[in-house]
Amino acid sequence: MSGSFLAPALALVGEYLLVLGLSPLLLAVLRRVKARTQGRIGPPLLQPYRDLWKWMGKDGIYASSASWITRYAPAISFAALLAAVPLVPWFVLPTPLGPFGDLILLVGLLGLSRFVIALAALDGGSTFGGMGSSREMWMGALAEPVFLLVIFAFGSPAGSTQAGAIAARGVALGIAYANPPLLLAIVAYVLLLLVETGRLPVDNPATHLELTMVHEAMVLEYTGRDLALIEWGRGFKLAIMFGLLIALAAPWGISTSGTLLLVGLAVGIVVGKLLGAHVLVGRLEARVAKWRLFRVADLLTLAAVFAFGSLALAYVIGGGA
Amino acid sequence: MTPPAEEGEEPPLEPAPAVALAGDFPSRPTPAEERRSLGALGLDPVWDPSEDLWRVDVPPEGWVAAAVGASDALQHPLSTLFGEAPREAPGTIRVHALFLGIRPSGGVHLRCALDPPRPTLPTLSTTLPYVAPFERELTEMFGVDVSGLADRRPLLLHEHHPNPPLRPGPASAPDGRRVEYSFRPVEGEGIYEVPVGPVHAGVIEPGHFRFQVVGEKILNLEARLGYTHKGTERLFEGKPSDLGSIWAESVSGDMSLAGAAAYAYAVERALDVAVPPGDEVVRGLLLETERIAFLLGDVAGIALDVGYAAGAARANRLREAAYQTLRAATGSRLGRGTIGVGGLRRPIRGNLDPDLATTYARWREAIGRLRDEWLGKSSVVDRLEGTGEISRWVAELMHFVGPVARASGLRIDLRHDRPYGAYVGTEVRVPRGLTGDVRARLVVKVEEIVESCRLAEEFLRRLPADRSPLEPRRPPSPGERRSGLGWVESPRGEFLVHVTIGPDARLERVHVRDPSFLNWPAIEFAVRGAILPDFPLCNKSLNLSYSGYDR
Repeated sequence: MSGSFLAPALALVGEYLLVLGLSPLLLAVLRRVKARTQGRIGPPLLQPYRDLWKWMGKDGIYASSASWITRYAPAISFAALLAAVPLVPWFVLPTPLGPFGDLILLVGLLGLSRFVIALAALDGGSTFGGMGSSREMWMGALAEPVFLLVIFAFGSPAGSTQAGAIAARGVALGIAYANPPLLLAIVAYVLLLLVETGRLPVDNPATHLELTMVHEAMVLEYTGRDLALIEWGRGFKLAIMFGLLIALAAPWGISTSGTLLLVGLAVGIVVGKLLGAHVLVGRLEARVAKWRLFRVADLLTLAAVFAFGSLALAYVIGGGA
Repeated sequence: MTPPAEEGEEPPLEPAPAVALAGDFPSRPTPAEERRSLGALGLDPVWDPSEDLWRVDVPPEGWVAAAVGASDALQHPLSTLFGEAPREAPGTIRVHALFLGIRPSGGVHLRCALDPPRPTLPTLSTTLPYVAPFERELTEMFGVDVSGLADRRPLLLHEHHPNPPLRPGPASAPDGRRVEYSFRPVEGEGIYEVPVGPVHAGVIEPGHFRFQVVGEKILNLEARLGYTHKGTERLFEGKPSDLGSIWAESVSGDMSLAGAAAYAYAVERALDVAVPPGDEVVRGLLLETERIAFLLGDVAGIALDVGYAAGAARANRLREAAYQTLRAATGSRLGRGTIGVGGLRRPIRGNLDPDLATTYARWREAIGRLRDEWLGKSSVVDRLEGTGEISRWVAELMHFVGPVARASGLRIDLRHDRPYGAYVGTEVRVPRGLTGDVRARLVVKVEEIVESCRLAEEFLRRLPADRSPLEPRRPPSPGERRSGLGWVESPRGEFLVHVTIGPDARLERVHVRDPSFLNWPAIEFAVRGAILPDFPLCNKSLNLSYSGYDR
């Protein structure tokens, strides 16, 4: 890989194609799994693409009280999420951008995307927007420190906060990479993921009850192209969060050589892992009810405890760098 | 009044036993004792067999004493209060207040004639707080000045009517001016208002909710209704008495059969129409099937509102099976146009599936399995327990009815308390909860489905073998003015219809008291102190009818 700019550039393009192109399909798979548990057939797998296409062809409509924030927020949020894509090792190592950007940047970018949407929801001046913003920021304020802690838990054995470095260590160590601290960190991350992506039992993306909404309440005012950006961004945020979990928890299969065949195999493996993760979440969502809003704090506390435990254990058994 | 002490014979979190225990009901006065008590109040009651009530005429100055006497001394709550513009005394307004007793008691029917041009009546709401909506309606519909009524805002009408709509005179259309309406103010630092509706995100009826909230905590909720006011009571006027069930069943469309049955009983009692016993059994069967379908919808709704979509889907499948059964029997999923005056409006018995009894038995088992599965899920139970609590004291004070009251520990059910039709001589087990939260309401509703299946099976056994087609029965012209009262325990609670029929067998005044008219304040009590995201769940567990309140 050394020297040439071409290979990393191609890998980068490939990653974007994979994440942007595949995330609507993954969402459709998740919805279909849920529909099956309810005895419904569910929407066709191409439905999210059709929705995006439909919205893309429509202009936005803005409240007369809305300022430029409402207009630009979806694009800023989308861009922030786009920038987060190459921070995750998808199928090649080292990551195409190499040392530029680590997971702390990723937390910041996710925070930025959350922040501008919350701001835009306040900007519109509707009650539900304000309600959604207050809930989303409350969850965000609790989730971000825990997210950092989880990153340290994953990163401390590798001595790095770069996902590429952590994954590379995992690939090199093979099965020896899986140790008790890693398991604790995975549990912490999964709890965090439920909050961060707004899935059940934290938030119900399928609900029509405005008073219970978190994320949906913030974007009620959006339509057309803006809604397309928000929904698409939401879909591949889910893919990013899963991709990161896969890269940190089970990095095996990511290609470290530049051979086209191996890279192709790695792409297949990562798609399979992503599909599996979405099916798993779909099945989980079918089994639980939505929690009371303030129970989310308990969930994050639990995640923090697990992350702490992982960090402490890593030093006790000498996994620390 | 102080909150009564809990009996404590049942652990508060256990599902209530499905059997009404002997001695669970306090001893009730017999009609003879009622008469003595009323006599002690200085009243001279007349027994009215078409209502099964003691009828008393009182002057406006004796109104409060008589009403409080009927309510306190006889322990009969005020079931409904309405006005009438009697045809025999043009220009006057007569106010009726009905206090339904529990068997063996009868009850009391107070009548008070008010003189034009300024009819005035003292309020009962200072003693009986739940009467206030009745009095607000009386004010706006008849122009009666209820003195001492604290809340003088309009109840159902959103626009200005030059003369009150139910007062005699030409029918008045709104003149377009808006009626001023102000919500109760709640002030303080950090308190903000959340307006929701009248148009909601789901496909439901319209109503406006105004929340005063601090953070996520609800300090106060005020519901404003009237968006589905259709002037139903006026639509009845002048129609032949055998056709009125068409409007009665659209008061609350999801309880069509109950509405039609209550209307039919009212006319049958007024005109002394006999119903063949076989038809009564079919009515009972249809009413129980409607209750099963309706309550299954509630149960599914509760599951959906806690985000448990897979559970909701299974309850909804059962619910649809119940509606399909109704459809196969009557040609209408809601059973519309089936129950009429004198029996049934179309032949039903020939349509019944011979294996229907096993169908009910299967539902009974299925809903039992569903309940066990849900109540075994910690994430579901956690949402239900302690959510939207209505204490027994509040339920009694505000005279809530139906499953809402039963979940709070009141064992009231007209099928048991004042049996009618096929329920006469039938044992009806009335379940109740003690905690008054969403979980109690869910459990009570599930128990009621089980009991309804059992009753339906019993009615099927009692169906006469004779399946002769029925002939349309037209009620006779009475030749004099008659009135009658019909009562039915609908899926939401007691449904009352009071009719006055003229000498030409046409309707002169019909008053419909949907159970939701009494139960709507329950939502305001249930969510006080709860958090905003729990409101939809409380709302669904109460399942109040907007249309039934507005009419």
